[in-house]
Amino acid sequence: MEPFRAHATRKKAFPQAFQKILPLRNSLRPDKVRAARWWNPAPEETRERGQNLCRRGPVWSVPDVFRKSLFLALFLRCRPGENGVRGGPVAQDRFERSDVMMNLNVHAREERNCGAEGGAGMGGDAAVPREVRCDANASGNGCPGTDDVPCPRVRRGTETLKEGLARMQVGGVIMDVTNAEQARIAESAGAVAVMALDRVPSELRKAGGVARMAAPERILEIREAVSIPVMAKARIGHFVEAQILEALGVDCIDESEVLTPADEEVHIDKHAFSVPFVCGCRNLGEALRRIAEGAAMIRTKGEAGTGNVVEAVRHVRAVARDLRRVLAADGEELVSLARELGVPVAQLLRCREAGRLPVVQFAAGGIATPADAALMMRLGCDGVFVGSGIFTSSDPRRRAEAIVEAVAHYDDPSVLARVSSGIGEAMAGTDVRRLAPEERLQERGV
Amino acid sequence: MTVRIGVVAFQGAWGEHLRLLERLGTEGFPLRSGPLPEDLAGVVLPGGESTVIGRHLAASGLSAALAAGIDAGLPALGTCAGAILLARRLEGPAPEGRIPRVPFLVRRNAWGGGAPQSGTQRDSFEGVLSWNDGQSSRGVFIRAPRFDEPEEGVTVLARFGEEPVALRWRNLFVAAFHPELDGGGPLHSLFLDACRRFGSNAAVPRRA
Repeated sequence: MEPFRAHATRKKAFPQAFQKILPLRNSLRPDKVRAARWWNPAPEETRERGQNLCRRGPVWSVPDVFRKSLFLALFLRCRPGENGVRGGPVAQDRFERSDVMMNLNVHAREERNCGAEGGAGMGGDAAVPREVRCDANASGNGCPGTDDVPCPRVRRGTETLKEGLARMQVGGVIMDVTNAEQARIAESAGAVAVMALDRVPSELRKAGGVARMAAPERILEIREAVSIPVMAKARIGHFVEAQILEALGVDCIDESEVLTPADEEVHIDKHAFSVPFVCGCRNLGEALRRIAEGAAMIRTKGEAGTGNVVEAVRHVRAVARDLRRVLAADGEELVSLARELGVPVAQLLRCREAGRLPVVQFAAGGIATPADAALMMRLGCDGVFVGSGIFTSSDPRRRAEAIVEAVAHYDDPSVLARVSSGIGEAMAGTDVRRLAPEERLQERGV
Repeated sequence: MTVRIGVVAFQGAWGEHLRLLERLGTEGFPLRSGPLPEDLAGVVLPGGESTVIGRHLAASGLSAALAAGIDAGLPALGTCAGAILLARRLEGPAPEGRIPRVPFLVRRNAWGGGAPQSGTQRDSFEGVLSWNDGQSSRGVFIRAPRFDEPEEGVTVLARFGEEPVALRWRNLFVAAFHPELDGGGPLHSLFLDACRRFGSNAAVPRRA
């Protein structure tokens, strides 16, 4: 299907006022394409063209106009900067995305996702009508799925698969590597995945200049060397780098502040990809904005390449503090809390449903010792990224093994004492307070 | 009757398995070291990275304890990485700490169609499984292994197309997909049946 034409059809069907809030609506329910249908049922002609839609479940009886005015009344209220509601610069960024892009991406998702039932425990939403969509009827046949037999179409790149990959990493250590040799060391030491890079963050810091995506041949070399998942970093907002990484068969993309940002306002629309993304955050607002954009995994930003864990601790504590407020809040306080954090209300509801961040949360940025790793686990992280900490230390293999052990037995000080001894010198490290403001990577991408 | 089921909880989706067991009305608890508790009625090896889980199984001594338990008839369920650890034969380098019991050949990350272990996240998929009792359900395959050459005594419980994706051998169940991400389904009812039977026979000598 040709997405531009579909967008044009949709544009024609709605007055300008509705167009304006489309991106807002999408940001509220990024993982629920069905919501798009609820607001905007497919016009007859697109259905006849064989657009992938076969619908089951309850038929909506609420009149169209009523539904739409409900949407308007609800969501214009919480749109920052309008109707007398003040929004911070952060919130403003979030909502200033173009209609065109969001609409295109909704279509990309519809095509990929046949049936949109959320995975168990992954934010299934009872308020959305159950609707199963597939493109089996593109050839003129109806969808073969019934109430008892699920639609037989194979689906790829769904939210369940993307968040599922992240869930498989829980309790593990993801290590930065720059060549096949290091990747093999990481795998045999028990890394759960490797991050393929040209240079580790501390070297990037020293080198200066523009830091970009790693060279494809390096990523492929590393992928050949190991059987565990391979991740790679793309610059913030550089969706073409991300597409290249996806085409290379990378298992997960890190939209990372460690590289020089390509876009200072807009992040990559991660729903449009079939590979999962991991993104950094300093607080709950950043975390939930990234999740709303489609991140399947969240990590703290910390201060990469310093070997100093202080910023990662600050960030994970900030997320936990805001999360406690969200979980304790009265239902009616949620909208103002959403405004304050600069995030969609739906994401706060997802947090409350899960009782935590709705996706896997790792620690990253400055972790250099087994004790650092265990500290981050004790603070509630699901696993850790270790960047420069391993391969700039004196004995990378033993340090890597020790950090893996420390993450698995983080609450057993006797194990931690054992694995912390005899692993050589840790990386030197930097006092974060001595960094000039422009050297602080964490300020990138809010 | 409620039975207690241990979930090997070093790395991977053990949290999802615990939540699922709770939802199915069974008591699950994380298992990180031996010896096995007396009232253990079943054990789950979750999805994750087989190399990492195997490493921890070996280092903690749980691997040997579980092997002894399984030989005495303890039911076990291995999903994805767990299935790799329970398979008797393995293509490519073998992780440490395996409990090689179920007689079939497992190929890791093998849904890519290319060279061995060439499967990536791009090749992960959700598809419909047909169970041998006529049911069908959805299966979530994430960098999944492929099952091959099941030997005598192995029952193929479910297929995706022609491919066997869930097997049973005596009291051991293996699946290439992730029932823990998808609400359990037929595999869990079979596994829990086996656990209940094992739990109620706990007084009699446990010889397979």
